[in-house]
Amino acid sequence: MALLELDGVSRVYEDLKALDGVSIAVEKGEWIAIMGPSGSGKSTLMNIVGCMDQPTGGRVLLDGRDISKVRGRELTEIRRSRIGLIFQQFHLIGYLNALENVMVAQYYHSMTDEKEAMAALERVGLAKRARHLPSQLSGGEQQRLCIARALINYPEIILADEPTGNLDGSNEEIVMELLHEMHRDGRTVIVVTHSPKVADHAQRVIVLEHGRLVDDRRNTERRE
Amino acid sequence: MKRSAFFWHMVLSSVIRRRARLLTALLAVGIGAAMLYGLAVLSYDVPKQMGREFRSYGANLIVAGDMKDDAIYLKILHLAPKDALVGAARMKLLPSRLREHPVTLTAADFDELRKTSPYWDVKGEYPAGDDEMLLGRSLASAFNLASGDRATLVGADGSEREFRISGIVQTGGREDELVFVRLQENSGYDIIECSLSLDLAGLERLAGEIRGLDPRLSPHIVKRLASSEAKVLGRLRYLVWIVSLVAAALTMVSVSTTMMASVAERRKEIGLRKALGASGRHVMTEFMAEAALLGLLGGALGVGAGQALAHYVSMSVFARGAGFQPVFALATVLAAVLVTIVACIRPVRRAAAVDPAVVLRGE
Repeated sequence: MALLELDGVSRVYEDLKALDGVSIAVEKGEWIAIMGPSGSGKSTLMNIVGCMDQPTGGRVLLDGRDISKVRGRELTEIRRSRIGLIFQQFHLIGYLNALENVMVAQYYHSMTDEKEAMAALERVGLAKRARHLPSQLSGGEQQRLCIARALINYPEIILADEPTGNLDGSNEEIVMELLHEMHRDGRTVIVVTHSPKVADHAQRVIVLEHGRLVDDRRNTERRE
Repeated sequence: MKRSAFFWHMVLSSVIRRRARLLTALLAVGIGAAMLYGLAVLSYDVPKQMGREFRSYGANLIVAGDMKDDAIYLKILHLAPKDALVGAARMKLLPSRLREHPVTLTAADFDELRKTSPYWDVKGEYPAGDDEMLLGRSLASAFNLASGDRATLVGADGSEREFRISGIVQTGGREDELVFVRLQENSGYDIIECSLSLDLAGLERLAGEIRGLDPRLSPHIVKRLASSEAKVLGRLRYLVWIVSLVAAALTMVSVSTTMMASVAERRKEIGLRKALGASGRHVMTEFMAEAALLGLLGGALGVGAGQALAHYVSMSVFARGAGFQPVFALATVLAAVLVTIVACIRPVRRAAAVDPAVVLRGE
């Protein structure tokens, strides 16, 4: 049984069809890249997979359970416990330092543990910057902090939206290596990207256009 | 760090590290609290100060009756609230004649009379000895007498007694037609003029108690003074209430607007928190705690500013400082917290409804 299965998923906003009958099955431990031009439905798909939106048609099965009709607190609980989010814009809380930004994710999940949060920062090479505010960190450091925050609650699925979109070449490599580490740890990684270079790291590439699935292929020349 | 400790750490960090952004809201709460506390202190203090001012216009309770000794006087002193009694002057009225002209001789307790009637304008001195008299201004003019002159009074029994005029009294009232001498000890008296810092209800209560001492006593409230005092103080309290309500309403509007702006500004942060697993209740609790902290800080600042304001006003108007009122201070801080929380309900509801997907949409 697939970890995540989208079965004919549609999402209509008034008269706009953002997703149109998309069906995808994601196996546990798989690395998938979702590509497509602007307005192709990538973000809508991410919102649905990230339990931040519900489809208007079709089913979303997580471990065989249909979550497309789940609402409110229950949906929040699924997002909190099973999904780690990485954003292009980092979305760090400006008045909390690096350590506290990681602990926020712990706080909403269960208990706060400073040592564990510090270990997550060490893992992304930010231990020495733990007491710095996001504004005192470089773009690469902010994205590494975002990754540490996504990792802290041991989610099964890592959902990354253009994770290297705001980074230079060297920081892009660092971030991709961290995603590889997570993948090697057995996590399922779903990356939304415009960049073919980033998509090359995935085992499978899905392409959307006008809300429809137009390509779903194995990446035979994957960068390890 | 425990979960609850981390919650307060987040709230404190938000307030402290975003202090420049919260300054407007803090000032709004502070100014509102300063108005509330300052007015509360003044509304508590001003009646006392005004009461003192009113007391300079003369006695407001007159007890009449045939009182042979000091027993009744002492009982009345005992009945009157200690901090309200300004003075109680005993008087005895005796028919007399000055140069064949009938006059009223008033034997009075001058030490107390000075307290009950500080408005008397005395040219010369109050009588210091038993052979001195204070002459009303009209009588002095009619008989062409002045301070230092001597005059003979003839009593109802025909006895004659010569006095030195120590001073001429002018009040613009019936005192200008009277002759005053010192009241002899144990000579009895038939009037006690009391000056009390009490409102009309307090005076009526005391009058009833005095009547209860001896039904032959006739306590009479000088309504002209008591009701003017009650009217002025009533209007003052009404004004204080109106200004306080306006201050509270303005504070609410200002805090609500600032918090509304804060929610709009922090939309992405709220969306992120929800994306990380925060429920609407989490977001509401965090914003409400921030509001409460803002109210607490603003309230404390306001109490300080309000105390300075009340002190300044009291010094300027009554030349007496206004004391710190801990109960009002506590009530003001609580009111500031409450007003801030109420003002934040709408913005916080809006914050709780933010869609977590806003962080992904990059809005």
